[in-house]
Amino acid sequence: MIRQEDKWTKTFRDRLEGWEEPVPQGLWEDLAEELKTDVPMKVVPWWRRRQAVVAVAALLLAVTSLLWWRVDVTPGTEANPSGMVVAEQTPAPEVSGSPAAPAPAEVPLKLPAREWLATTVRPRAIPAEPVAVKEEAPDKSVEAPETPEARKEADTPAPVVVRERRSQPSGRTATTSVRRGKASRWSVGLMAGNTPLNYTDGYSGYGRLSPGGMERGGSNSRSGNQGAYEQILFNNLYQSNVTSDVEHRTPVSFGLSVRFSVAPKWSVESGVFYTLLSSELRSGNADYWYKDEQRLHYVGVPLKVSRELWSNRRFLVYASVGGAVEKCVDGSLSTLYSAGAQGTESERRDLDVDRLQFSLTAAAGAQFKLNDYLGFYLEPGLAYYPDDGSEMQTIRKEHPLNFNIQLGFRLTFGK
Amino acid sequence: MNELEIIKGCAKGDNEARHQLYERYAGLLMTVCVRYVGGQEEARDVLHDTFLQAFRSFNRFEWRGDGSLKAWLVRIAVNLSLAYLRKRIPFAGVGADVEGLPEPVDDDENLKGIPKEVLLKFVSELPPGYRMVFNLYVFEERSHRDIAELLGITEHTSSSQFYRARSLLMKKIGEYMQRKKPMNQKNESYKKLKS
Repeated sequence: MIRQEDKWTKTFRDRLEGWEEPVPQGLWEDLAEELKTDVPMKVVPWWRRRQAVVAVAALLLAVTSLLWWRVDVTPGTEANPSGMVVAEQTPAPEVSGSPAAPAPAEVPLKLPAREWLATTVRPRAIPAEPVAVKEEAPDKSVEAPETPEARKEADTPAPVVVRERRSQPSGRTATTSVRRGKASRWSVGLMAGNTPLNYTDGYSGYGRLSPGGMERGGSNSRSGNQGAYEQILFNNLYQSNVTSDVEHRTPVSFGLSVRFSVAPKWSVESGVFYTLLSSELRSGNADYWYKDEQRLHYVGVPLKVSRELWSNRRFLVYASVGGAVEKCVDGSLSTLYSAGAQGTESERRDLDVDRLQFSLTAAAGAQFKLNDYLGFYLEPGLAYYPDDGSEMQTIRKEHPLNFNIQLGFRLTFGK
Repeated sequence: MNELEIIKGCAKGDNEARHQLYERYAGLLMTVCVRYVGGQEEARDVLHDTFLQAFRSFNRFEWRGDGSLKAWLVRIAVNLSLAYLRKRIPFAGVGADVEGLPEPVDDDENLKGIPKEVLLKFVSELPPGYRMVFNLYVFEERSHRDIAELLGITEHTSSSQFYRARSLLMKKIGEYMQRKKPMNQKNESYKKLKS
């Protein structure tokens, strides 16, 4: 470590400092020729990647759906949707052997799926159905005990079927009108999600996952296992069979979410979630190599706005857009150095990522209602992770725009 | 193109940026390679590999202010040069006979008067073992402990190799200056005659 440098050594270095030897003729041409045949390693345009195509398709779907609904909300089209709703609701009794049906005919249990996201205030339902409320409220009592047989009877006595059908919208209308003016519905959820792909890459030469590669440490400084690292470089670097293989594993997330209805069909969701990003890199050849194992733990808070697109008693389809901010709360880089017969050494460093990771998401979701309170949902979508400016190599750096999928349960409460 | 643009371009694999990088650093890196591997032909091979290695791992380079790119490139060149030498010479520290070499004296007067290319030539003519240690110690500013670890030799070997290398260089430099002196004196007397 300690160098006692004399005047002679210093002058010698200073004399040759910045000296440039004549560059060999034709070297650049040789290099350019060789580089031509290189397969671009990392900078594959994102639109060429298959999952990007899927992701863009999902985004287009989400955006067009949202646009379509915005148009639909205009006053002129109000009457139509309620008509459509009745039509859509018709098959509902046929599948009504649901967990909800055997329960006593409580009003909330009859709440159709459409109500899932909506607030109690549903202005456009008001003019269309007030009559139905009075007229068909009694049918409700008929419907509830009947449901187990409803399926069997569905195609025999036509009048009954008609009644059943009519009873559905009336139930819904009754509940909505009762609820009008009361507090919003809200739900809590448990989610798990990931980007359903991992990422592997190979290239010739060395690499590191975190800062601390070849540029780590000045010429005088040594830290950790820089010695072991360099030993491997010395033993291998000139050889052409040195390769690096990187694998960014599938990110895993899980968390809790809370969702509030803020307007008819519109709701806002937030919560907290945890994500693990883990990657592995191996550089070297068969004898001399090192292996980096990087683990970054993030905690994030999302904010999403959802719009219900379509629903029936069982299913609900919605689209959401939003974003999240995540902070790396813990990180580590474990490295195993193997210098052939000289044995192995290992090292573990803590990694700090101070920068916040922001992301934008767009998703289309489908929720299957197990009953009126509990639903299982699946939410494919895409997420965009702008560069957080940190020096870590993660899947988010490799694929800023990515397809992802989230699934979970939602428990919905309404007053 | 400024340095940052070159870096970004190289990371994307842009040929123009690569060429600019080459133009900017080839001479400097050639010096590094010659210092370590000696011959021009060998240095050319290592320089070639240095650029190839740099271009292929550019996306791993982290810019940390002025000088970081140069330091990174030099580091690659040094690593490749050492690897080249290790493959070709057994590191036994064999070198010139040290008999009759001057004791190293800390006097840099001779160094100041000698042309740079001659100085570089002398370094490149050192026996490979000496050359590695000398370069690492003088130009990479490594301690003998580091060098010992890097080259798989003892600290003592490293320091004794350095002193031998230095003695050898001082001898050559001294001889060169001696040869130059009569010439300078001749020139001076010629000038005197003319005037």
